[in-house]
Amino acid sequence: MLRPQEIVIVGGSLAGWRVAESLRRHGFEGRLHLVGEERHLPYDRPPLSKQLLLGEQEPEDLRHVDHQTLGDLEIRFLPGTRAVGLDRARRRVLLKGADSLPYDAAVIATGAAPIRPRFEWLAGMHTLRTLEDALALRASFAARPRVVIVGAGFIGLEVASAARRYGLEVTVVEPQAAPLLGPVGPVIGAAAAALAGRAGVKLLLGRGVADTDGTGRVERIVLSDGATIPADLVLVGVGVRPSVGWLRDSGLFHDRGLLCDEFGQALTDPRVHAAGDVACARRRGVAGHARVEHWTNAVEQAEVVARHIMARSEPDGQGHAPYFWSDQFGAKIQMAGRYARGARTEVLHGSLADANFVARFVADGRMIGAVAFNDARTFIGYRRLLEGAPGGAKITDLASEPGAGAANWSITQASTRGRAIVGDRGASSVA
Amino acid sequence: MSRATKQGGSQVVADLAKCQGYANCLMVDPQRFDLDSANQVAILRNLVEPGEEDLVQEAVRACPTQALRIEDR
Repeated sequence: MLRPQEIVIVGGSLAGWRVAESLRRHGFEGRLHLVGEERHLPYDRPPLSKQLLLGEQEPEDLRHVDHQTLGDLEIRFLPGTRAVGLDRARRRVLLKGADSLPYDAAVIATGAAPIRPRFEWLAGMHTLRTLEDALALRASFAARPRVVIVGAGFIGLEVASAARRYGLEVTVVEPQAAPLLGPVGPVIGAAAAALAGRAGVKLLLGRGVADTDGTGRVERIVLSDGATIPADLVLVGVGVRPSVGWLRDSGLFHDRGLLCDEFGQALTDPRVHAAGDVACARRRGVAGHARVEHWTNAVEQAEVVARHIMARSEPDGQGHAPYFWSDQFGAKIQMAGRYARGARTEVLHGSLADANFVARFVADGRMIGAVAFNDARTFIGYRRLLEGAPGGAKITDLASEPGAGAANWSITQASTRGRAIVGDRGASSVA
Repeated sequence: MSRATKQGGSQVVADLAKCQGYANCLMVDPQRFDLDSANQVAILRNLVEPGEEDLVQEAVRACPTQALRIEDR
């Protein structure tokens, strides 16, 4: 494909904004449109369930960019504009109304939207994805509601944490046997449960929500075993779906997201790329395609996509292991790589009981992930090992280098980028 | 936050009120960034020499809390 002259980015959040900014930085001089469905300037979502909910930050603190910078970069920003289709034959992004935008290259960065279970959706029920969602939740905390959270995932637990900070009564209902079971497994999930319990959250595990009940407003929720819990405010955090409904007639529709390679390029159309939560992408060194709903992934993918469009790609595409964080109940949780069902959890430093530890996940003799509670400094060495080996790091490498269980170790660089060696300088027994 | 000199050039500085210790900057440029005992960024070398701009820019952009910035000296 020749260098494009006109690029349309659909999605005005982190991934979309970063693609636009990177395209300019890599020398794109053509017309550049950034279409955002929300009416706001691109803003940062992770604080919505943390600092914004706690009142420590306000909407203006979350902005990624202001109008001045967008103007300086000659990025035509269209807020409050909904894309409704992609006409690949005519190469136009169709907008709500009769408008459309022509493109040589299109970037899909429409993100994901919360799943709404089939409960009766009453007043007092919330999901959390947008700034409006977070402000509505924060405002409703003022009436001191009894809070019920459906789903003990990261969003649910972070909202529970904030609600407890306001002194509210909080119950979390989760059908699985532990919170965060999918992302971190049962052992670390139990540590997360203990942390929430100590903060005064009532956790109801192994029970689903059957329905909601109330006259106009939610008054109680009905559990799968028939029990009811009084509720004035319900936050439903049961995951998201990629926002691809608008691509239904494009020939690119897939309910798993926009299928693309490790450069973010759509598998069946070289003029279309995807970045962020919507992208179901290949990752170098890992089989299959997967969506990764993390901040750092969106940033890395945006850079890869911009470079690829500008034919400035590094030859290997995106290969970093996923990394994400969560702040809840006073703990800083960080994770790199992944957990897979059946993987062994090994605590390498600290203790689960103190919520101060680094643990790794081991499957088939490889470290496939690492997670830390309140130990960012120790964690960084493991994150580095995983970043160089997205498919998992060989344990033999680890045994000779990082000293599993070492209480005191340092990072020695092998090079300025990427790979580093974790060197053991402590002498302690294996945990 | 760093030594002032009369020369031009640029330097990278951190806003510790924003830093949350996510350590993305360390992943990009471990020779320049570290975490201190409070799990906040420690900049080992502020001065950005010619040829280092791209790497430092990448570290700045990798920060989830926009706690790093490059400024003229």
